[in-house]
Amino acid sequence: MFKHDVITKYNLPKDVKFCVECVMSNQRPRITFDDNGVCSACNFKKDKQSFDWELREKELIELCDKHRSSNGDFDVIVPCSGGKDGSFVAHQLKYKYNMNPLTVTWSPLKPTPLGTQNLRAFIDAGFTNILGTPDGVVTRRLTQLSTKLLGDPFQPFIYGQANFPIQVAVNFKISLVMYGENGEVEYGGDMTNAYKPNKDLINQDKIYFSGLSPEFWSEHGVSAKDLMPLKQPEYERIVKNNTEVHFFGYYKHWDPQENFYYCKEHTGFEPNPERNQGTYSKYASLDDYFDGFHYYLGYIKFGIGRATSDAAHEIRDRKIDRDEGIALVKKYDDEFPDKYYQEFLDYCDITAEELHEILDSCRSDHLWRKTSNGWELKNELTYVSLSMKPRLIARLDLKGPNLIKPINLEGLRVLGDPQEFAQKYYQQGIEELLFIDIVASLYGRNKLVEIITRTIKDIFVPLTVGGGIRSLADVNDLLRAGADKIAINTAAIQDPFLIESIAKEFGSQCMVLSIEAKQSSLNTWEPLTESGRERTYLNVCDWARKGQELGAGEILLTSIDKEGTSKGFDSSLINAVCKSVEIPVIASGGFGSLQDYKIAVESGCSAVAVADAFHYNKISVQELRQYRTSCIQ
Amino acid sequence: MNFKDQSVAIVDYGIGNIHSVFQALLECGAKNVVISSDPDVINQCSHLIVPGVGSFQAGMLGLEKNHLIEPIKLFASSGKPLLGICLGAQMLLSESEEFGLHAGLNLIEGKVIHIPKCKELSYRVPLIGWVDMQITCNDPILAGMNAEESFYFVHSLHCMPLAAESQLLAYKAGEHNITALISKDNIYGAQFHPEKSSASGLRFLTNFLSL
Repeated sequence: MFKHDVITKYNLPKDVKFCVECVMSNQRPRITFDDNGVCSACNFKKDKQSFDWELREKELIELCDKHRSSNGDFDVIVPCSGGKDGSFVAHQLKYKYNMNPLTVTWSPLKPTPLGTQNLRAFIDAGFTNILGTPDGVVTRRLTQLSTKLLGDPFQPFIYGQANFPIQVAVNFKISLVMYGENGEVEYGGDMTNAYKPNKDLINQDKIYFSGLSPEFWSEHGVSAKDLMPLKQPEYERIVKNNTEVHFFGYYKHWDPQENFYYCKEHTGFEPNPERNQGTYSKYASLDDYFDGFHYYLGYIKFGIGRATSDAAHEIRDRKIDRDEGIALVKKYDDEFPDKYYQEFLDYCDITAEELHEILDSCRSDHLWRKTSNGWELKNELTYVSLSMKPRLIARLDLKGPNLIKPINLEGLRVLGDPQEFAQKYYQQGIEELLFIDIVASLYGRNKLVEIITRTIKDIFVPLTVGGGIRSLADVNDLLRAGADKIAINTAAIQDPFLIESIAKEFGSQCMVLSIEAKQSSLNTWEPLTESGRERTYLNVCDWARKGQELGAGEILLTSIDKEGTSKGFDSSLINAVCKSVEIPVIASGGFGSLQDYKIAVESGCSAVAVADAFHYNKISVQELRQYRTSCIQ
Repeated sequence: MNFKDQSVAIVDYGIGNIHSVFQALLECGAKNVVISSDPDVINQCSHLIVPGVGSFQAGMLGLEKNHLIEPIKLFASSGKPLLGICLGAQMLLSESEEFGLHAGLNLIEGKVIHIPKCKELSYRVPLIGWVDMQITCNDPILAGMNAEESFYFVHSLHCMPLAAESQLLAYKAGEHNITALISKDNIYGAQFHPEKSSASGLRFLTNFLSL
């Protein structure tokens, strides 16, 4: 199947990161992040507080004075759909700065009645308007091609929207064009024009439409004549007209929601009676039936949906806080725009199957994974304010008095005194210790109480212990000795209700269900007992769910296949179990390099257990802590 | 530090990892620490600690069976410092909704409520882990703590004291504020486990001993 190379085309970073202040990710083309994980748009917003707005208004007045006509001619072009932003700019220029704007609208693909009504109300508030409506046959054809081949139905529309006002400027000999905000600097992108009022118009004569050759378009039945209305006028004419394109957002503080209030009052603007699909807001981008598909394809290509874009700027504008933003993104970002689905398919003359093929061709592997529930994003926003960072646990497998190191739970090499290792990890900043007596279940006895009694004398982090625990009395002894949590495997398989009894008596929080899983076939694992010697014929996910139902408060998930290999965690296993339960999961077995921590956490676990990488000094606790700081926001 | 004048009693009512608390207090320099269920010992100590893990109902039942409810209340009214840890902190409140509604010690007005589950699993309940906390409030039990301190939590419910000023520290789970530390006069309740919170926890216990 054909796949768009989204990473190359948009020059996207392969590691997804979210801004720590808003909800935008580094997948927005051209956005940059600073060393503190803050995006360029958030930093720009902060910068704006130090701007001298009085001075900038003076500059605006000077600009207006330079262009203002004395004979009643139009003196400024304001691109405007009748929405809140363009209407705000036009109204301010006309009524506050005494200009005579000619407003220019580029027709939506399929205008909504509300958009049309708003444009009319705007005109009725005292404005002259030119509506550019391109050839319907050509527009439909271009929309179809652009959806199929470029993965964005709006590309032709965007060209027209950008270039038609320039055409009008040149033809009416009006040299000033006033846009609203510079989206690149306000919402994240190219910062070249961040500190200047205007943008230079580039010579597009040599740049083929959409970067594709004229032959490409003629092959698909679109002629140069057809493309004419969407193109910039000849560069020579632009220069001769002294055309200047400025951003109102440079001169006046730009706040989309405030524009909405302004237009509600001054230009008869009405918001949508219900929220737009894919987001929560009602006041933006409501002129076109097909807006939703433009945003949805952006969600597919970049993992950034409409709610993300809306929430990001509203967080920067202090309209909502970040947690609210995250909740809104989680709720609305992935909503498919099904309201005008059939209309869209009819308009583009494509089938639903074709559209879904197009969607899948735009899904980059670095963003999406396919699961039994369909496609899902690999990286999602988490509430940073939570937080508990996924814990670092040192796992110490014991045999009698010795720390040992098995591989695949076999071959028990003696490493030394567990106490010495534990003390070292504590000094280095370990966050939990996990002692597992791996032969105890065979004898039905263990040395754990002794180990705990020694450990708690000088180690003040939580202790989880497991191995050979069979009864409430065993649990009571261990907890009283100073253990915080008890991990049970074999005894729980033999008598699942032991889980329930322990949870009732001592609380779920200390009942850790230990599952030692061996892969039996693709995406299927079986829990084993007796240190991997005995089969259970159960399914890992079913057993984990059952454990949760019975009151387990956490799952210690060890991959027997990966255990002791240092070859990385079994991320599919972690993912499958984390999806099956709501309680925390500790990933164990396979940690070999720093990146394994990130992979395990991204698979959904709440804690990572490390054994031989620590025991053999391959990686220190400090190194792993530092790595965590760098990769978890 | 040397706390030779302080006599600390850790209330023993049959459940909980009391020995960890005991060891941590020794590490902080406490010289006279006893684990006890004797009302006279509780009455005479200078600092009282109510530890606890497990369910609220089991905890209250344990106190009742050991005839400890009145001695603890009496101690609280003496003005001497009292610290509840985890379940011990929760039992200081009026009631808990864990496994049905159960009355607590009512030393601090309020209720123990469930931490809402998170459908998207951006956090998981029980909340288990370390929280970095920026200490901004001025209470003597937090003396000298202003940089980031890290505390270990493990819980599915948390305290909702009626008076807002009783909540000294909180942290975030999703959009929810989760109570970390409560107080009223001489009574403190830590949802986290200071005895398991490494250096920060030991500083906290040292501050308690200094009260």
